[in-house]
Amino acid sequence: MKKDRSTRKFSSRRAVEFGIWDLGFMIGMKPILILGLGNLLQGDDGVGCRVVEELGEATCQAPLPDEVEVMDGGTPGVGLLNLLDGRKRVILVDAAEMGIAPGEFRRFAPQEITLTGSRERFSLHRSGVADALALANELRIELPEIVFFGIQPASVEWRDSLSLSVHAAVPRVVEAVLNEVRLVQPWHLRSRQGK
Amino acid sequence: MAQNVKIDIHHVTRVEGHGNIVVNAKNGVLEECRLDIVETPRFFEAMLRGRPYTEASHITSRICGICAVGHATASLRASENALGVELSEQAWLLRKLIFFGEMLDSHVLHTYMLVAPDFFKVGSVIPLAGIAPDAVLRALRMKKLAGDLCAIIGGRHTHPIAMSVGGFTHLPTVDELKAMRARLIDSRKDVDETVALFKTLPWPKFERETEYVALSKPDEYAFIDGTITTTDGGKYHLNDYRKVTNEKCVEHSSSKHCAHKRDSYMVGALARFNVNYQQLNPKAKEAADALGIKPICTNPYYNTVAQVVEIVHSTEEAIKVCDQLIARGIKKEEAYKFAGKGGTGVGSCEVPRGILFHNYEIGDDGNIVNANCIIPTGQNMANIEADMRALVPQILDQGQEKVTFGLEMLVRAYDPCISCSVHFLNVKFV
Repeated sequence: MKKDRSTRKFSSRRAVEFGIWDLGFMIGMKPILILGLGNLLQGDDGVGCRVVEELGEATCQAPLPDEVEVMDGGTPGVGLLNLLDGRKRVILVDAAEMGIAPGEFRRFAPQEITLTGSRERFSLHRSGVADALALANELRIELPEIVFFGIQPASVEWRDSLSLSVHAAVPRVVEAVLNEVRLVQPWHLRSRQGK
Repeated sequence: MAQNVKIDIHHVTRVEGHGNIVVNAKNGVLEECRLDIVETPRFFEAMLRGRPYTEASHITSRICGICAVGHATASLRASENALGVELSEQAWLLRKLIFFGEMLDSHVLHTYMLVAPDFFKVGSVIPLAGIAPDAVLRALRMKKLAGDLCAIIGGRHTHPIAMSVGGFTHLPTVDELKAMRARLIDSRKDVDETVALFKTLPWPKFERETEYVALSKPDEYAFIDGTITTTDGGKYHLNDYRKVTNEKCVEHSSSKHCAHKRDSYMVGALARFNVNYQQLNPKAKEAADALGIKPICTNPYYNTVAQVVEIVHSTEEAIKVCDQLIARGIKKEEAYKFAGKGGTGVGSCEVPRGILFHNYEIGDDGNIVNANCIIPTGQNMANIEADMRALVPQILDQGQEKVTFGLEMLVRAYDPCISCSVHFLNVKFV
């Protein structure tokens, strides 16, 4: 089986080079978190992680505001709550079954949607978002402001690359996420200079 | 009284992945009793083929968010054994420390969030949080500590990024270790309360003798490396793992079955407890006494109890390793450089669910030529079914509902990661 190598990246070195080393909590936690979720080995389910990886490259050219941290969260399950802990605002990027065309994406807030746990209906199940948010609600845990970028997958079968339609959507999602942090946050004007 | 029971549980809940329980009894005679695994086969081995050995631990750590450190560790040990790489003492201590972090994270998840709801007669941890919020908040607090421990060493919460062949690409600072040590000491209160909670739970009474398989070492409770040891008297070098696992395909499951001296064997916390009890931390032995578990324990439901014992052990041993690292100081170490000579190696560690094997053949170009992964849940499948066949006749007269509940609890006790165990076909590389 021939695979598209361009979408097969598992490089820790790149993460360091591009400054998305996930150690924000050690050097003082940044208030805004862009969190990619999903399983890189389950086809389009890994799109959140891919977006975060591309975001690292994009922000080499134009750095993010200092208040923003980018993290590849993988499949944390209810551990998601620990990743949200202490943030003011979190932008979650994940595959989401929304019944629209593969590669299309939507921006929404948690209160705008109903998260269902069914595997067939919602791949957010895999990364545990629905369970984690329901648990937080039950325990009255105060959550940061959350914005989702949900990307419609074509296939979440076991393979380590994205489908063509979802792969093609990655740059558009990256752009939208960048706009989200740059336009919504006034302090972007204070960001570092970058080429 | 002769009983008819027909159970077909489609997708057992609160386990990782999808499995069905099928039981059919007529006039008190068990006709059918099996655990069907319905997950799509995963082709981990095929995903590794042709990729540089440096990527293998990152790929396999993505198999699962729960055993990410475990898969990375087994993968790195396989590559290190294949390439003849020796680890420094510092690297060993850090490998152990991050492993304790994952053990705590996973055991807290399983004991509190997947098993405890059964005893409170609720469907999941979400309603449990309504009934016993203090317990669930404690579990989240313990998970947060465990996740942060993994992150200061692995560089990331869920899937470690700093673990590499020969050591680490990033090192924690002594200050971070001191802060972590202080938090681990503080967590003893939560650990004590965990033991207090779980010793009150009415564990089902069921005994069945079987063979228990775990890694063992002469000088410590083995989690990484060691000798494959069984309670039936077997001892094997890691390279001979196939003599223990003897994988075979079965018709109703996309997970293979394993057997050694008997028709099945058990791996996991209970197996480790039974094989390595003597090497437990003294506080963990005290907890075992309090929890009423002694080797050799043959009640599979007590796998969860053994996990509680390991929560105590991992916390105490993590504090000891922090002490050792703080006393030594953290030193930057040379990264391993590939010398252009491949090889074959087996890596093994005791992930939360039991013994895990990765076996790689690495070519002289540094790419993986062949790979085999044997996952704990796959090894437990035959044993779970043997337990089911022994259990059902004992509880058949209690009616369908109780039989169903008892079987679901039994499957959950094994902490199965069904989605992980599924790799039905060995891929033949041409």
